[in-house]
Amino acid sequence: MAGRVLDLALHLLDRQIIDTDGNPVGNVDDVEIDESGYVEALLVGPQAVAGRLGGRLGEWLAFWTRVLQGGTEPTRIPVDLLTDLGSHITVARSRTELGAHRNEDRAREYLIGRIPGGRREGE
Amino acid sequence: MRRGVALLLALLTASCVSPSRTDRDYELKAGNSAKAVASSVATALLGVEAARRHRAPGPYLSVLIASAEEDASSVQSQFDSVQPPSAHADAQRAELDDLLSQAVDGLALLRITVRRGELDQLDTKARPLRAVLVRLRTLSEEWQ
Amino acid sequence: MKRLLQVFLGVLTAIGGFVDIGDLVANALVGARFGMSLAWVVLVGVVGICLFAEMSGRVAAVTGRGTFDLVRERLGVRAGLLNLVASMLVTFLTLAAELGGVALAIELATSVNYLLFVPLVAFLVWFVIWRMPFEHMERAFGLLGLALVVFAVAFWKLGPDWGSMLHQASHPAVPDGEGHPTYWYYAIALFGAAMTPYEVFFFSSGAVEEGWTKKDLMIERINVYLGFPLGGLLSIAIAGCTWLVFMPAGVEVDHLDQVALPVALAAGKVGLAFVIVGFVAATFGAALETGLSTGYSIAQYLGWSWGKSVAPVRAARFHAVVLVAIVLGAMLILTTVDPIMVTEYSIVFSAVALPLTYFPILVVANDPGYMGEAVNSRLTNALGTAYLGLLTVVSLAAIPLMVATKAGQ
Repeated sequence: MAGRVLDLALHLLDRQIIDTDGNPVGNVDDVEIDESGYVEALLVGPQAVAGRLGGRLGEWLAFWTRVLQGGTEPTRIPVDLLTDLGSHITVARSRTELGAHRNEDRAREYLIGRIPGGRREGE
Repeated sequence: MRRGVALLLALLTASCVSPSRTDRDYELKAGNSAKAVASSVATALLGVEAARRHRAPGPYLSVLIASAEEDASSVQSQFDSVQPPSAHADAQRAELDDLLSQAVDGLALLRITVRRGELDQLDTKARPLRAVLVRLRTLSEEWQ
Repeated sequence: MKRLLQVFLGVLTAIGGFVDIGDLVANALVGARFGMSLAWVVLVGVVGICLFAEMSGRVAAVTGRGTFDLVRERLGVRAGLLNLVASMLVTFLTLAAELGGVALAIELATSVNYLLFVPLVAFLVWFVIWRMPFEHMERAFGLLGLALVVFAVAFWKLGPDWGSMLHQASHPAVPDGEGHPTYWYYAIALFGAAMTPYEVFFFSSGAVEEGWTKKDLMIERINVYLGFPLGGLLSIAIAGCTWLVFMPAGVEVDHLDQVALPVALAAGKVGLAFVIVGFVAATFGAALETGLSTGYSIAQYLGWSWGKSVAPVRAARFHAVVLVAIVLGAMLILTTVDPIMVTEYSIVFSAVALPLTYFPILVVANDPGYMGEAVNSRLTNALGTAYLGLLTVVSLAAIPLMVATKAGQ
């Protein structure tokens, strides 16, 4: 995996990330690059999307993310955790370990988990 | 942003009632009002026809006629609120307003009859409305 | 034999599910004012939706992923966001209109003011999404929606002059007393009602939910190519009924109660009962679809887990969005704004959003990277591109015409 040359926009950005259990982690919303152009990490989360949108739109999204979600840092996935780079990107950890599930938990805790029938297996 | 809001407001108000500038404008407005109320009266009369042939139940008819009455009433208020620009327009106003009142009253009577469950009486009670409808149609054609 | 039954049920479900409050209102209105002179618009719309529904279903079956997910990946964050926002706004407005439609339909049966039903309807819509299995949900409401076939029966019973009807339909002309701008405004409205964006998202997300693969594509195509055109014919029958009864009487359609009247006159109380059941089924079904679609669109764009096929707590954000959308939609209707007016705006804005929502589908369906051998054929591409041109024209003309005709007056 190390040393591959990629067209960022084509192969990496906005791709779906799947964790080691097969669950969706999110999309590659942004990437962290070091001075020599190596990708160091993938960034996931609305804060990262805000950064890419840029301009007024990005600021607006960043603001609302802070309000509704708290925290200003997106989820960071170091590049050495990547195991596959095909039509979607697989990582070697579960999403709980990656910490990418915070929002899901918040929605679950305050709303969906409290409605009867929420835990039953889906159809 | 502000210009956008101003434009939106201008568009919205343009679609509301605006003051008549000429006799022709007023006549057109009167014609449209007559046409709209004719539509409501015709709807109610079709409902009465359905009742006569035992093809519609009470609850449905009561909704149908009540909507027609509400529409007619609101057209009348809108029309009444427009300033007639001349004496000629005054005469048109008087004639139409009288007719609109007859329409609204007639529809109200039908509504009351339906709500009382007296479906068999609808046909009789609708008779005056038929003449009103004819008159409304004539006016709406004259004034288009 | 079992396959045959499946296909048969699938087609029936597609027919019954085709009509929603937008189609009911638009066709009824147009029939009363323009007779059959706008029937061609329904046909053009049906071809369009068949084309794009097949495409999006194929994309979902081959890639196993939903539209918005792929749109963002293929077209980028900004384009994907534009697509998302346009789609969500229009779908939300449509959701509100459908909720209003269900309440109005219940009012027709009970004569109790529709506003009182809105909270109950909203709760039921949410509850069905929460509890009812996806396939059963689709099937049940699609089949119940077939009750609207009574419009075709009523049309036949009203004894149209078939010759003159075919002539009017095949020689479209602006009727006396109507202006050209109004004619084209209603053409656009009718088109927006036939080609609603949410149909396509729902169709493709539903394909993923039900786990379609390439093997299911044949059935999917039959459902689409048979079901949707028959649904379109049903829409035309609605216009036909109001044409025969209301045009000679000078009645303009403003209320849902008027839409049912021709059926009552032609087919009596039994016919009316069918119509009301049909209204409720069609609008309730569409409320389910639009509610789910608001969730699908935002969840797929942001990469959340989504769908009814996982336990709700594992797709908590998706369900939260659906819940909030239904509540907000109900609140909009509870402001006592006229639901028919909300419907009219929703179909016109649908027309405006059409190119934004359909263009990405064409792009993805054409990409061999995603589709492999299942990319669009040349014919599909030619048609798809032609339609995109048409959709752009329609989209640009919609708002100016709305202003010029004061929303069709």
